[in-house]
Amino acid sequence: MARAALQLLLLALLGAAGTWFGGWWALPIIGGVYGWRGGRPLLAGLGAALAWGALFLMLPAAPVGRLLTRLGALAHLPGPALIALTLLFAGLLGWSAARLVAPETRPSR
Amino acid sequence: MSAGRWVAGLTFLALTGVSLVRPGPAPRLGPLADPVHGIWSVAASADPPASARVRIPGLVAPVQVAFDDRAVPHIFARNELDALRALGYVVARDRLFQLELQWRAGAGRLTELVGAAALPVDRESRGLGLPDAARARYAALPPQARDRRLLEAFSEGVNARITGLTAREIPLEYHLLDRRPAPWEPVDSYYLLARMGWTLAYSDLEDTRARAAALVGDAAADALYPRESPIQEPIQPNGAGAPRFDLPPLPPPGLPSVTRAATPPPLLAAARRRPDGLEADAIGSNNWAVAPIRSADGNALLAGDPHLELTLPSIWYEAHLVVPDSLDVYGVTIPGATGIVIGFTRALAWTFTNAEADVLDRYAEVVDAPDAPTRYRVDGAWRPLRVVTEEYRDRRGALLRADTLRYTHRGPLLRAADGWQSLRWTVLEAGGEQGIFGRAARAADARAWLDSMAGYRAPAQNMLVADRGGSIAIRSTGHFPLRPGDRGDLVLPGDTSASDWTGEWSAGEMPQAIAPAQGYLASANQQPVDPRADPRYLGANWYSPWRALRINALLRADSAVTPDAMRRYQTDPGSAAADLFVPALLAAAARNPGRDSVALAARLLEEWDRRYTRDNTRAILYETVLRELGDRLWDELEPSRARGELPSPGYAVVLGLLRDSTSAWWDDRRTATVVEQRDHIIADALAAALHEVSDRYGNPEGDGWRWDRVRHARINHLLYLPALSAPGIPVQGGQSTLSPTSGSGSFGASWRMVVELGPQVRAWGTYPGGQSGNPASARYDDRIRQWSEGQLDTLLVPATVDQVPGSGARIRFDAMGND
Repeated sequence: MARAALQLLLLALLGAAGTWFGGWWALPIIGGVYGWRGGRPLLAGLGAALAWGALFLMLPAAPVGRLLTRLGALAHLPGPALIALTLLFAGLLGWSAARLVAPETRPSR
Repeated sequence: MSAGRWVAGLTFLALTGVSLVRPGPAPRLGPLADPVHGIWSVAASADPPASARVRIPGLVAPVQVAFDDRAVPHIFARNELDALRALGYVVARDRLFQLELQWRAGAGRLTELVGAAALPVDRESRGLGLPDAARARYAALPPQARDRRLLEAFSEGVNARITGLTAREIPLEYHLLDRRPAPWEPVDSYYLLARMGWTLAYSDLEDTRARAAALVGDAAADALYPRESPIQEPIQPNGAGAPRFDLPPLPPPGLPSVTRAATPPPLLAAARRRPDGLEADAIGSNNWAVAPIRSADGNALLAGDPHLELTLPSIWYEAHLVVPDSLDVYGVTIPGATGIVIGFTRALAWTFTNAEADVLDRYAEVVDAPDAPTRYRVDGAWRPLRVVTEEYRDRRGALLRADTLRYTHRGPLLRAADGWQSLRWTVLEAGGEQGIFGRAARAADARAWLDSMAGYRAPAQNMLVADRGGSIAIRSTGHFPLRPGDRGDLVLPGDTSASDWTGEWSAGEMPQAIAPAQGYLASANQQPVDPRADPRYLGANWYSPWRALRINALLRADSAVTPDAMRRYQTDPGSAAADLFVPALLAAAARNPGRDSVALAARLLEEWDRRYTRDNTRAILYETVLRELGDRLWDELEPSRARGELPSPGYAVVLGLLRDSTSAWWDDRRTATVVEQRDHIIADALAAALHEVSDRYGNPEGDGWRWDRVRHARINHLLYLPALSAPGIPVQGGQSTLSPTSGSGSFGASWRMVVELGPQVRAWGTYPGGQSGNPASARYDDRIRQWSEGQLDTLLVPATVDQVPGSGARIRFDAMGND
């Protein structure tokens, strides 16, 4: 459990750093490498979502609130749903990349 | 392969696919959703850093910029070019997307930014010759010309911002469009100016007159769309001290006149239509000034509120430029213009209204081939056409369309249903406007300011100025052509050089008034000069005089005007038109007893104090009655009027008709068996309006008829995205009031300013929007509420950077290579 938590934290840190210095494509790369090395796809997905969640928290709250209102209206969705969808997008990117390249039978841990 | 892997594979392919390749018009999802580089990141740049150091190529000396509590930059530079470099940078910081959208609109290159949907707008701009003229004007500037250096300095500032942009500083609209900002070229300022010329000086009188004559004959057309305003309250005081009503009898509808070139080229027909069905009296700018003899504190006062399409961000950007011993000017600039357009110095203040002069003529040309001409004939000799191929490209550079454009010596040659017509338009020939504002801002007094502006060409403006010495002055300034013959509202034969303009009005000939005895001056787009004082042809498309009547009445009645009164007048709810029309409507109703609905409508109208306050519940009935009246009255002009091809005659013409109860115009030809007269038509209009308003808004005694429920301002985002717009803003004022609103409400007072020119200049102002173009910023729309309530902010004019109050951001600009 502790090992999984540590891996999740590491994935989140890598995902945040990768996005910061590179871009969105860091998430599938990190997820892919993690999955290829036998990591659990679910953790890759959670790590990616966590990474972007952390990056969201680094944005100033008031402007994000205004942006949520306006972009929510643009997308005809409640503002918070946009953040949820953004995190879901990140999670799916990380999970799908990891699951796609993961060994068919994962070694037991 | 397991099902799970299939699901993962498909998910991966789908997500990376829409992140790498644009799915149709939508942006790529990955770059868009990225919280560091995507759309969310604009939140990080909503509040600019408290301090920054920026290097600008070409900068000669350091420049300091301090933003006050209203996010207005106060720019302190050691020379004007450096001030413009800094201005370019801060405008780009706050309005980068607007800058690009505006130059592209003038250049006819919007499709390259927003896609094929903008093709009609681009074809219009290029078809009218706007970018061609802009390029020619820039190319004509000598390398060391002052205007060229101003344009280049501004450009250096904008590009310093663009090249230094971090991902988080890219405006939101670029994320939505999946584009990056294009570099700014000096000529882009001319594209912007050309588009402003189209907005303010495109008035095709030939079309209106020809269409009307084709329906009701020449005499009736001339009377319906009169050359002289039927109500005279001119800008240049005529000494009457009151409006003069010249309301001649309207000749009856005549036989259609077969007028050559009655149909304008399709491009022009589309260009002349207003976007949202605006009523004739629904838009218009105002300015007025009061001399010390009529102000409470003995200081000259000036107020201005140019009315334009309201957008978010606003067309205006507020700034203060200071160059010691040279320039100290505060006001508003249009992003892309190289200076303050409307504003004040420590010596004087100025503002504009549109002159509405006739500065466009059409010529029916004789060409050598009906489908693809290469020559046109003048004075019996063939001249070659200048032929240009214009290519329109999409965002990927793919060719969308190519147009062949042709030019005569007069201007663009356009195809009409019955031949080819060329267009001569002062907007395509203007020059010198870029640097003229900076020069004028150095003037010491009103007279010197007018002299500085004498070279201004287009779009023609009523330029009002007041100075600290107590002088007030106004001049209708621009390139006013001298034409052969007496009128410019007819399509002229192009095959003779005798049709060509022979010159232009000199500055001394332009309508003007300096230090008038009446102690005040006012313009509201009305006819500048009483034709009895100067009968020369200046135009024939004067706005209805109601706003002019109202502001003149207010100023006549107040011999101790205060700055706060000037502010209140800007949103004054009184209507000179309603004061004249309501009694006439009530009188007609009284002559039609026995119809309950007419009596009820009259009673409701009688309850109205004829003021368009927010809580009044009768203005909506009055406006509907007028519309119903017009629908019944102008049946002779259908179907052109209903299709928007022919504007309704002004209500001043209707006022004249009200005096003639049996005029043939009152007869509704659609009712073949009845010959209607005035009172019958008015009664029908009252009953129909009551029915319509009750159906739509409920009980007359309920809140549904409140003005702030039925009429609103609407401030659209530049891309017309509803989520980034501000709809439904309650306002005081309606059709023909000083702050008119009508149609969709998307036109209105774009900047309101009041200046008191005392020992210390004091000023107040606001515009509907905010300084920032970033929708995540609190400064995006923070002034709208204040604007809606008719309030103004105090404008701060610190003398040094240390005097700039507040905790706003500060930027120090350094030359490249300096530490």
